[in-house]
Amino acid sequence: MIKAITMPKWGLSMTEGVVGDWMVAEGAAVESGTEVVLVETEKIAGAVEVAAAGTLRRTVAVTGDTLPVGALLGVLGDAETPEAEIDAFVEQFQENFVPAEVSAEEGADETETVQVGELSINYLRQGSADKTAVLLHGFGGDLNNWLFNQPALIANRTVIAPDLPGHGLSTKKVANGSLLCMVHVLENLMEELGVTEADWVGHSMGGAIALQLAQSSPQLVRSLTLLASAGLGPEINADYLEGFARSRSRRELRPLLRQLFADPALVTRQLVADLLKYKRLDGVQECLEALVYQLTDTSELTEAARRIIADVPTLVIWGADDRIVPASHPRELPNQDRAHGADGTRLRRQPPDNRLLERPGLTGRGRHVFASYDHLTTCSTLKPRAPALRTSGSTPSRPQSTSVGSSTGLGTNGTFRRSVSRSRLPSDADCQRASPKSAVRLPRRPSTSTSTLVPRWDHHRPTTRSAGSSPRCTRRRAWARACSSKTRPTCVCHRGITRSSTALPWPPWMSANSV
Amino acid sequence: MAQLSIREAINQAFDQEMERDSSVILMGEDIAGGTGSPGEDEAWGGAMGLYKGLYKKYGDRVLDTPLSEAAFVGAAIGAATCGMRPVAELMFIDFLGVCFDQIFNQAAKFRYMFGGKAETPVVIRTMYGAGLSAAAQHSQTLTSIFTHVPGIKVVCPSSPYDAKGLMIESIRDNDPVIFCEHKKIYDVTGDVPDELYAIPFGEANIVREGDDCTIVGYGMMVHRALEAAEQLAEDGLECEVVDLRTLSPIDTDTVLESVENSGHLVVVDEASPRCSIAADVAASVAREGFGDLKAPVGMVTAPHTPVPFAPELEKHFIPSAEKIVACVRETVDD
Repeated sequence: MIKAITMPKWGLSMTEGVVGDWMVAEGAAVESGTEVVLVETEKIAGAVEVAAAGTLRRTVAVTGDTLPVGALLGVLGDAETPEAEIDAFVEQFQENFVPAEVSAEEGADETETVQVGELSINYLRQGSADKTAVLLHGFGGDLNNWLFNQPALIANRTVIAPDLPGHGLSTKKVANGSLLCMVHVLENLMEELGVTEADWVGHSMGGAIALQLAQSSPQLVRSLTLLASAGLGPEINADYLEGFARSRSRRELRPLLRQLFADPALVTRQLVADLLKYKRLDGVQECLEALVYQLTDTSELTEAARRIIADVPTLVIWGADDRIVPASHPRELPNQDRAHGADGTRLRRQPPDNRLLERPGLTGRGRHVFASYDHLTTCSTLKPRAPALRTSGSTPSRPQSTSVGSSTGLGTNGTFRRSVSRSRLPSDADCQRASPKSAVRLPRRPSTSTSTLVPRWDHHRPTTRSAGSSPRCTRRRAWARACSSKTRPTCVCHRGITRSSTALPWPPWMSANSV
Repeated sequence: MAQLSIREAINQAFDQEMERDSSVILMGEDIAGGTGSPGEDEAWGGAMGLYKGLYKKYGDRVLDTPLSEAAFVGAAIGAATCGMRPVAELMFIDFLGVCFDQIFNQAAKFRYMFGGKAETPVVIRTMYGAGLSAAAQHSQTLTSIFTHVPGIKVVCPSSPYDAKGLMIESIRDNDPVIFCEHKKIYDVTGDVPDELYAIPFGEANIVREGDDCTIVGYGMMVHRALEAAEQLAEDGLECEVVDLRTLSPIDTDTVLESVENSGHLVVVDEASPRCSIAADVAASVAREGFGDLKAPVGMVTAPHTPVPFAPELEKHFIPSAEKIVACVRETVDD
């Protein structure tokens, strides 16, 4: 066996990559899925994996080279293959290799925006097949999470990846943040884009939205693919969600993000900096807090989930080490047959067409959804179950090989906090009318400090905005209570007054008369 | 996301913040017109063009003031205590001498002396730094005079992204903020989001990563430090460049964290060496991170002299990439 290891194509726009360090020495034995060499593109840095087990016989590409997509990086073979054969293979490959011509059109991956009600929704549409698939990113993510998946799916689907409200380049408004509100926006978006039926792929919060959509607008849903989805069980890591929504600095955010990766080293400074840039945008924090409030109680959806999944062909994919939504959730779904995929994936089949794929050593989260994880291609092979009208000629295929991040081996015990049950969730009735000012606030944690009117003069220390202990913060809260509107933010520390200065009267100590 | 210069980024911050909040007003010398004031269709927009187009759009919320810093800085501070959010322009930081009482004895003290009952959400934006041969009275870097006074926040951006986010945060902040812009970097360009965003004070930015030496700077010195880091990287010395972004509050933690990793520190400051930000950072690290230091802290600053007028002398006066490179080598080889 002699196989070429070639420059991968990560995303439609990738034409070339810079070869980084080799992670495996020449002559070493490798497993299928082993990362062998680092590659950097203008958008991303990643590692190339081998597709089969064998021995790395030759490293052809030199660190620092810039090579086109498809170029030879190295040669994989058996330990016994003679050197001469390898040499001949390399020579032949290099002779025949022609870099693919990249037309401007093919390389384009420009997003578009469409007006949905009062929201502007940004989306990326790729492919031109008759059938449509829609990819819904998770909490705090954006359409770039699908960088690797979207191109892999365009062979037989038109693939639409929107930035959900409050995320990416879409308007930073989510009304009360309920799943129904998000579904409402998506329904309108599909109408705008002329999509009548689609395969829905949802990651984390996106999965819960897809489930909700399958319940409220079943006619739009041909199949569901749920990746590490919220909404299938009662537990969710509320500390993570709340912390993510509230954190304002690198130091607060970094430890939270480490929970997303099996390998915490993947939380780079750049990743943290990029997320902070998103979180600093006006309106984002309000959106995220409203979403957290809703995501920590999805009990109604969880109850309905079994019924929904019984009606719609569903593929569920999970990282076994998930620390945000436990991997036990899908196991509790009924009617699963156990089987093992050839690559070690635990495969559970729900008759007749529903499947759960579970990977050990992955959290199921990360900067890019399941980077280089192309299980998703199986979503296009799910057969519609509903009787009659729809047909599908394709047969389910075995998922292709996958990347396996190193497992931290961390158990999930004690990480998850069962969400507090609330007596009343905000109504969805007027979610379209609602503006961010009426967005429901998270109940604030009670301040631990006693109230005092001594001002702080420790300017030489970074001030922590979220600390509820500053005296002006206490005063603002009292003022906000006195103003007595139910929907008023209870406290936004000393920023409160400017944030909503158009809507609120000046507090008494700020008015001209009292100074 | 658009490519903007620092000049355009600050202009956009003013525009978007004024549109959002009607209590934001602008005050300064020649900012409304500059070529004839009211009635001019497209004026220059202040000495550096930062206010271009704003007078036309916001009319009497852009106020031309007499050439009297003592009067209009005081007026801005008064307006702030009465509920406005003024941004006053002290054209050159060197002019602070004629209005310093208003700043350090009035604005900086109100909240404290009135038991927290008064707030002074004023922004005083000002130009600092040498490089234009503007001579000794228009070229100083007096940032540490402000950081010496409790009650004033001091901001010093180095990139368009930071300039917009920090200006918006300054306007929204309820305390007096001195917003210092280096004259020579107005045309530095970079990606700036179209939307409003605010960068919290007190968080330094790591603009370049490296393990061998930490270089700390702010304003234009960040660019000089990056130049030096590029040169050093060619010889295999990887420097981490920390942009302080805000001088008061100052983010010592990020500097300490970086020094913990690199073991070497070089501080760069365009101000005179004594009682400066450079001296302050060096002292903090010596006090709190002494165990991490493998060599004495290096300091690259201007000499303790007035800024010379002669271009050749001025060039020698300002810390250059070459001086930073030399200092890093000395520190690391020590």
